[in-house]
Amino acid sequence: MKDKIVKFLGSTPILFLCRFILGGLFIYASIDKIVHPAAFAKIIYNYRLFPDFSVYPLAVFLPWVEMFTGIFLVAGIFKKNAATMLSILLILFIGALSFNLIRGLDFNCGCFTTAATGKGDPLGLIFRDILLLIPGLVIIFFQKKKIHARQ
Amino acid sequence: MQASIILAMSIIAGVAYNGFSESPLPIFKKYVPVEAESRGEDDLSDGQPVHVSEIDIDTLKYLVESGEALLIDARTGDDFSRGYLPGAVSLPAYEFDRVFKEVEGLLDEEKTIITYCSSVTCIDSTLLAKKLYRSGFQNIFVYRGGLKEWTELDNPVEIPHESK
Repeated sequence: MKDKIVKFLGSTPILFLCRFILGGLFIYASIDKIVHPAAFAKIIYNYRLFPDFSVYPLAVFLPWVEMFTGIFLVAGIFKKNAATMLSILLILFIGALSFNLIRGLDFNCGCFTTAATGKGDPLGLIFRDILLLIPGLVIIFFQKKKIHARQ
Repeated sequence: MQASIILAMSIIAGVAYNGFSESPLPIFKKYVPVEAESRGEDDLSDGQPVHVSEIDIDTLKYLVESGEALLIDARTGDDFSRGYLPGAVSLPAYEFDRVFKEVEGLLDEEKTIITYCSSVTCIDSTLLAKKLYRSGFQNIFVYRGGLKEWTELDNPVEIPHESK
């Protein structure tokens, strides 16, 4: 039974699906932030977690990390590393959302859009990010490294 | 190693994109929250703090219906395309430098300008009002209730035929 599950999760279609879902979502999420960096800077500031000097660099740099890592993952380049990076980002997002939920702060998630409509139920957002961790973990644990045959 | 390649690419792309954009962010400066600006920390060069008065919904309606005022929506273009106060012009506060040139011709210095954003909790309308003040407009008010109060009181909302 255990072998069957391992074989299923390690199969090419499942791994491709995981890469496509996780990578595709991060590419999609990065576009609005790249287009509206000033609005994204305001959202980062409103999380009240980062020092003032880091807000602009994060607003300029973070969406591109999401974009490139997503592209690499979908394209199948640096698969394990890209999945690890996106999973770390998701864990950081879960941490930030949970911290502000506990503090009772009213803030815009800035997950997929920089518009004010990006506000959502923080618990729902945390749950969604936890769900998104699943494809990342599947890739990390079941994606086999290429074995180069020795001559 | 692979992660550092991705990070390096992101830094290069981010800095390059920001550098070529029409309103680049000052990467090496500290972030100044707009709340601080509205407390008067952004004084004009002559030392006068920018103070913007607020207006209620009834006065707004009177001024707009009598043709004495022009409404300006300070939210993003995407928000504007989902619906706005009838007759309003879109001028997103965070894209002021780029969009102002496009809408400048529509603004009449003789008219009262009323800015608004989503609701009482947003600050874009105040920010926009200050930017307009600095651009030479004198007669500016902020409608704090914004689109939320407007729709809650069953007032009509205009939706553009083509999203911008």
